[in-house]
Amino acid sequence: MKHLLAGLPEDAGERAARARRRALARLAAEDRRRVGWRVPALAVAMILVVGVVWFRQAWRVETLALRPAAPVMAPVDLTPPPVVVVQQRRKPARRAPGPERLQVQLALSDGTQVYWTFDHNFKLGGKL
Amino acid sequence: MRQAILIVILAAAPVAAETKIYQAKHRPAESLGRVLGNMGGFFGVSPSREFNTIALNGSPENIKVAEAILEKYDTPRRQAEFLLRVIEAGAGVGADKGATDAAELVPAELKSMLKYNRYTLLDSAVLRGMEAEDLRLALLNLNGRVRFNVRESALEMTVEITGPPTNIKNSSGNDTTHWPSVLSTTATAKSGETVVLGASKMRGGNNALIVLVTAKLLP
Repeated sequence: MKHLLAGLPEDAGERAARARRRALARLAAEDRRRVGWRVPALAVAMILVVGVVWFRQAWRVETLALRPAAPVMAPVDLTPPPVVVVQQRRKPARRAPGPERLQVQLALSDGTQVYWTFDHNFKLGGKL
Repeated sequence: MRQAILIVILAAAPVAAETKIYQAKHRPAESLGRVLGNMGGFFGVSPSREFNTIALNGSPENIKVAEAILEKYDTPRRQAEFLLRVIEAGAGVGADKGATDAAELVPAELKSMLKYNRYTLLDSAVLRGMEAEDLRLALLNLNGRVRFNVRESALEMTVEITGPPTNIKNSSGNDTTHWPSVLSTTATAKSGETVVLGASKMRGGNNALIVLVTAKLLP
């Protein structure tokens, strides 16, 4: 094509230039058409692959090994229990029940009122 | 039938209640409140110590009754004077050296009933105070308290005398101070009268305490 364009006269040079531009534009569009769907498709494919790999790893649950601790039994104390000597409480001597306090009111012949208290626990507290 | 329904409705209708504040003039509101509290609950009584008032709540008729009762009991407090002579009675010959023989103060009739022949005046005290107040008494190593109320011109008094404090152990094993009661008597006397208060051991004993109380209402 370059050979043909170089051998044409000037009036045909413009036509050739237009044809050349059209041809170049067609080539560019063809290149765009050819490259345009491959790159996104490749990117989507890579994302899908990475996603599937990650999802599989995340989905996998590790199985824990069940290892319960063995029960330990306390040693049995075989020593005999101490013998406790129980002392019987001595019963207090039974006393005849009596009043703790007795109040007596009497009036003397001159009208004086006397209020006398007999108290079992009466104590003046020694010499006052 | 209609009449019966009307009667039931009227009986169930709430009586119009009102609240009134009574200002106590002479007596503590709480003491007056206790008087009303014993009346059977015909009215609500809420005494206030801070303002010395009584809030009455009830029907108008019941509040009138309560006010009449309060007026009757909210009388001016009386003042009284007490002369106390504390005598120790014992068996022996004559009075101790330096002690005052108080045999003359004890009524002869009472002396004839007692087996003691020695009467020693330990202390004398004059107390003057208002009604419903604690009048404190300190006699050598004895402590006391006199409280009185006036009922129909007679003095109703409570005399309490405790001995010297002693330390005793309680159930927890800690020491607590105890004031043993020597004498605790409620007696009634007219103004100017002398009453004899006595205390001794249940079965005789070597000594006895005799307190001669002369009460006098002051104008």
